[in-house]
Amino acid sequence: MSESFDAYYRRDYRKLVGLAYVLSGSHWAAEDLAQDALTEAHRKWSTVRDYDDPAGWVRRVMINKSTSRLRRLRSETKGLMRIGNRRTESIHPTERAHEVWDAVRELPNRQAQVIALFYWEDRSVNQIAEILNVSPETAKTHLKRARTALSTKLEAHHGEL
Amino acid sequence: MNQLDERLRSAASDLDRQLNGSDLPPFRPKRSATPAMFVLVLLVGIGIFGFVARSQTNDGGGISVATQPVVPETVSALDRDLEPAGQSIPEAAPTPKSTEATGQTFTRTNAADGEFFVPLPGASSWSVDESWVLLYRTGTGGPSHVVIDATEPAAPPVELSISPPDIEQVYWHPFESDVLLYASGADLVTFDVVTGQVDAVHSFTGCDRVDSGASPVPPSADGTVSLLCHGNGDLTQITYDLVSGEERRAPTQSDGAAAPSPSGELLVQWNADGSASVLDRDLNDTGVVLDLGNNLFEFVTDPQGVEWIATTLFDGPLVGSVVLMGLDTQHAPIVLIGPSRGDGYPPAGTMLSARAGKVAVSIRGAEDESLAGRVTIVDLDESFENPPRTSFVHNSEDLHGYWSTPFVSLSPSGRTVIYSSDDGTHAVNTYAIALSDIVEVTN
Repeated sequence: MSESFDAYYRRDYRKLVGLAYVLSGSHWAAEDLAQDALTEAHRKWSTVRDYDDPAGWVRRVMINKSTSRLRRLRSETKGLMRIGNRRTESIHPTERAHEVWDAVRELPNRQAQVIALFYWEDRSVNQIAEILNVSPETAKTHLKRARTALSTKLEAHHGEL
Repeated sequence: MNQLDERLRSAASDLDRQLNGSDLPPFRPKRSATPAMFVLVLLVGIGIFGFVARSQTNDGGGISVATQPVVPETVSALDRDLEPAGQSIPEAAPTPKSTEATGQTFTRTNAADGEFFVPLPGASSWSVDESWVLLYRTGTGGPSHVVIDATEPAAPPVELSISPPDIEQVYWHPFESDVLLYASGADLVTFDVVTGQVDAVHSFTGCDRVDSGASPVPPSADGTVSLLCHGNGDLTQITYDLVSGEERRAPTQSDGAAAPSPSGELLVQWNADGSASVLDRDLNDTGVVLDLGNNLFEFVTDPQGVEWIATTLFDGPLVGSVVLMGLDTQHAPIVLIGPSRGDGYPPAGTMLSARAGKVAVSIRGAEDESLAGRVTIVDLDESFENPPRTSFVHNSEDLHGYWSTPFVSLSPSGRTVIYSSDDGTHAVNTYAIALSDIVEVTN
């Protein structure tokens, strides 16, 4: 039996926000991105709920939207800072975790998305390929390149990973 | 597990702990892509800009900057340290200009003799955040597509190196502020005007090529891209959802891709006899046929969220009118300009642009009682059934044939309109005017 939207929302919301946080670096921006994608899902739930992987569909929507939304949200952040009304961040990662996610966000978009899906979501390469609408080989290549780039970036910070 | 894996897994665990400690907020469905705080910042920006503009127009000088495209500095101009990719056109920077005929003040491009800068018809010239304006440059200076930084009144046009399937078939991305969309072969590609990077968004299998067909078909506000697939001698109507990546296809006989409405829920597809059929999102025919007579149209959404088109009619009982037509059979056409509102019969050469509850209608020719020679703004936000109108003279004297057409394009916010005019000279320029600066009321 298909899951209700409410049940899906309760089950997946935090995981989705986490993915958006990894990609955006801001909790409130992540919540905004997640709500945007969930709104799309809510609108089309009668169809989406019967997909093999509704959560994967929601992630694809969020990632497709995130490039432009992230740019706008970064602008919004700057705007809020200018008018002295910056929202308080409620996620405070450890210094080591912060370094890792910062390095991920410096990667090209696709590489960052693959890393986020692989390490935060525990998605397989095939699932990642499905979500990103690319071939498994392409996803694997992005993952390999991202890992190489991350090793270099993180080593450059402290001379060690 | 190696060290990198360990660090990534550890960072993921740390994030998991933090998120599990946070409350689950109630679901807040929202249709608009504009978050509330963005609107707040936008409003603050408008306030700041309005104050600056007013200060500068009250200094007694003859030049005002109040009519440059109104983009709030606090939002759209934040990343304006980015320069567009391409070659700046080596000419003097654009200069503001007053037009005595209307008392209005415009910001203009700065074309040399024989050079023409125009907004292309059929798609918005404005990027989604109003930070860029796309123009076409031709005559002695072209041909090429150029962008102007709309946040910088002195910025010269910058040439772009793009090759859309037709000069008119290049569109601003509905979500990304710096990105243009066009078809290339069997691919839908993006062109970033800042970096110059070209990326394939999607490849359409089974198509030798894709394009918009006979006329431009911009993507809808919800991210629906509509294209014709040419393959094996057959035509297929395709929609591609930029958000979900989903594709829909249906065989078609139409020579143009169906135009998606702003919501993406309906599409208008040309028929061979010049009428158009309304399709639903799944490309099924709704049975509604619009008697458009091959005339251009633009989509409009009424306060109840019902989608209409604005178009010109040169046949039938409302001959010589600019009207709103419903996309169903329940709504009678509403006349915006035409004999039934006391206007004369407008000549051919009427250009339309509709955004944000406003319709801009520019009519070729010299001034007369038909509103020819003018750009008329119809404000549907004020009244949908009997909307008020304002207008101004465009001064284009038809000295350069097609390129003297007063092409018009409203900004997404509906606050600014650009239009082209030869202004009785050997060049064609594009002008911008803030709608708030139009003082003349046209009954």
